[in-house]
Amino acid sequence: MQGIIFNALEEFVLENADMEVWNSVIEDSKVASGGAYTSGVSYDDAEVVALATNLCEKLGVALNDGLKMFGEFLFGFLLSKGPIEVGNYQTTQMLLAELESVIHRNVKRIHPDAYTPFFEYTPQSENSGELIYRSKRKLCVVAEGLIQGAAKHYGQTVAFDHFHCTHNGDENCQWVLIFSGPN
Amino acid sequence: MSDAYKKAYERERLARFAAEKILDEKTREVQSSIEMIQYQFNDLMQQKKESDYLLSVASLTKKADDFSLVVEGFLLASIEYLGVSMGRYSILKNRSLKVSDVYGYGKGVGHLNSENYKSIYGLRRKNIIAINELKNSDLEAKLQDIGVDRIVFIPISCFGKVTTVCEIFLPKDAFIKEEILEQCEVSSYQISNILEGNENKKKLEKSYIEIKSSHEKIKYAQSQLVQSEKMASLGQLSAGIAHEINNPIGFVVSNIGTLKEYMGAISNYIMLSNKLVSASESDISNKMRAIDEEENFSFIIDDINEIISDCDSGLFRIKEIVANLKSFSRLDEEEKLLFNINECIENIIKVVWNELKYKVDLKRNFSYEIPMIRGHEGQIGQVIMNMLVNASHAIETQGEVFVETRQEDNLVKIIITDTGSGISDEHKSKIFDPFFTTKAVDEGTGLGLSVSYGIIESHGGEIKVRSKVGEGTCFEISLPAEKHDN
Repeated sequence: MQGIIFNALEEFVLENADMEVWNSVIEDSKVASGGAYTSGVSYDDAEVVALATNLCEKLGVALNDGLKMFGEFLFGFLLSKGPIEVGNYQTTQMLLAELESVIHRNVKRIHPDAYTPFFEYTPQSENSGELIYRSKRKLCVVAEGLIQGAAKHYGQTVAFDHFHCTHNGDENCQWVLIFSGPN
Repeated sequence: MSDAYKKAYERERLARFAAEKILDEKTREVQSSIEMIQYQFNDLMQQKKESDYLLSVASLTKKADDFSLVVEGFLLASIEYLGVSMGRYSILKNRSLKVSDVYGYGKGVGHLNSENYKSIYGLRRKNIIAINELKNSDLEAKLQDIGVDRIVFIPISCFGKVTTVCEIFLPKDAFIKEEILEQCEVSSYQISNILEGNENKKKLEKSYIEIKSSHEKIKYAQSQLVQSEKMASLGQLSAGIAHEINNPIGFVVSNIGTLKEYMGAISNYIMLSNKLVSASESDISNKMRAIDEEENFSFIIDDINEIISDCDSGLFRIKEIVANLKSFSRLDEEEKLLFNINECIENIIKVVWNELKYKVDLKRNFSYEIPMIRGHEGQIGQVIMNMLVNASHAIETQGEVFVETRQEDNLVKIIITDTGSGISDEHKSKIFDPFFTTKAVDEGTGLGLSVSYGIIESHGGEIKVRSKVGEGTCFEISLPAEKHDN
């Protein structure tokens, strides 16, 4: 997992709790990096799993709920602090259409060793489409959070129909997304 | 609270160190990439320079016709390729050396001395020589002035012999890699090929022209030979025939003469008889009158006279023919004398004028400075007569005949042109053949032109004919002029 995600997690914790909570999550997780995360560096996925799990426990939040909230937060963080210019998109659909071909491609140019999740969006109409997600990390909940964050950013609402899921043994996660707006 | 942030601060420091380390690594990677790109770029530029040079040299084949342009082009391309600015060339042709001005400088740089040129034209490969090795202090001083300390000599050979040398001046700080000089040398071989190819092309063109000319001459000589052979064999035949016919003709002429005399006497006697018979009533007279009525002696006598006259004409014609045939075989007897062609032609015109005057408007253009001809004036006159008579026969009602004489180098030319019916291409090749004629059976013997041809040939001359059907004919006779010793 890229260092920037860990930086985002720290910011998320500082926004929703405080530094002491973050310090204790780090201590409890006993992560090899000692909690010092640099943006362009890759760290063991296990570290983020440990931190997220401990954090949700500490805050008394269900893991999936916490992940979804983090996902929403993560969109804004990546938009402002991420290394990739996200460009002139006006809707979530436009962003999703170029997520793989533009955004993740540019990420790989700077960090050739980075593992990026696979996304494929097929529009069915102006306001709806099918999204496929595939990743070794199976963080479809975080993905939903990110999409939610995007929709909010573009002034839209989005409804999810998660009809395939890797957690249920399917090959990919698949949603039908229905957008309304922007207003 | 400050403890919490102390811990946070420590993590941040560690994260920052890690970030700086990555930054340094990336910077080194970028620097390395830049150096590699620079190196590859330089390599590419060198390759481009090389291919531009090769292209310039190759394109010199277009200028192959001009030796100097090719060498100049090679010199300039090589100067640019070596990245310097001055050079010149010299060309050795027909034992004389031509040296160009210094390109990139102009006049004022002295030549190498003859010792230098001797050794340079003995080079087979490119060579760099420092100016002090030339042992030519004036030149050395001048070259030093303009910042030159070495000269690259590139010899160019043509068919194994060095005919051109390019001198490229190198300034003090110029460092030229060996591969680049090798490339110049290789290109100089290409220039050699261009020069050699050009020479070969010129030789080939010259050969072709010579061969073509020889071919024309042979063709002409062949046609002359064929004609001569015809004439020679016919000459022999004619001599034989003339000889054989002469005797019988002699008998017949003599017999006809005798017959004429006898007829004179017989017709006299019959005339007197008739008078006697008409004045008598005797039996014999009656029988004689009856025979006369049946046979009509007056008619018979007239007819016999006519027959004898016809035989006379016929014999006369046969004698003419035999005389002409004899001319074939007797062309080189009699002594050749000097005569003036204009006078000869004037005499003939007088002789044939009666035949010409009704149809022909005769125009003369005689050259009065015409040299004499050595030959048989009678025979040449016969030729002229033949031509004039033919010309008038070719004119149907009215026309023009031009007679011109002039000198051309060592020949006397006689040109007879008419505005008659002309000769078709089909007949042109046959007109000098004996017995060839386009006239009716009793109008000509067909021997005139063939005899004329033989006469002119025996005088060492030529007859040529030009003609166009419907426009006219032109005969051009050439005869050797008598040389003057004064």
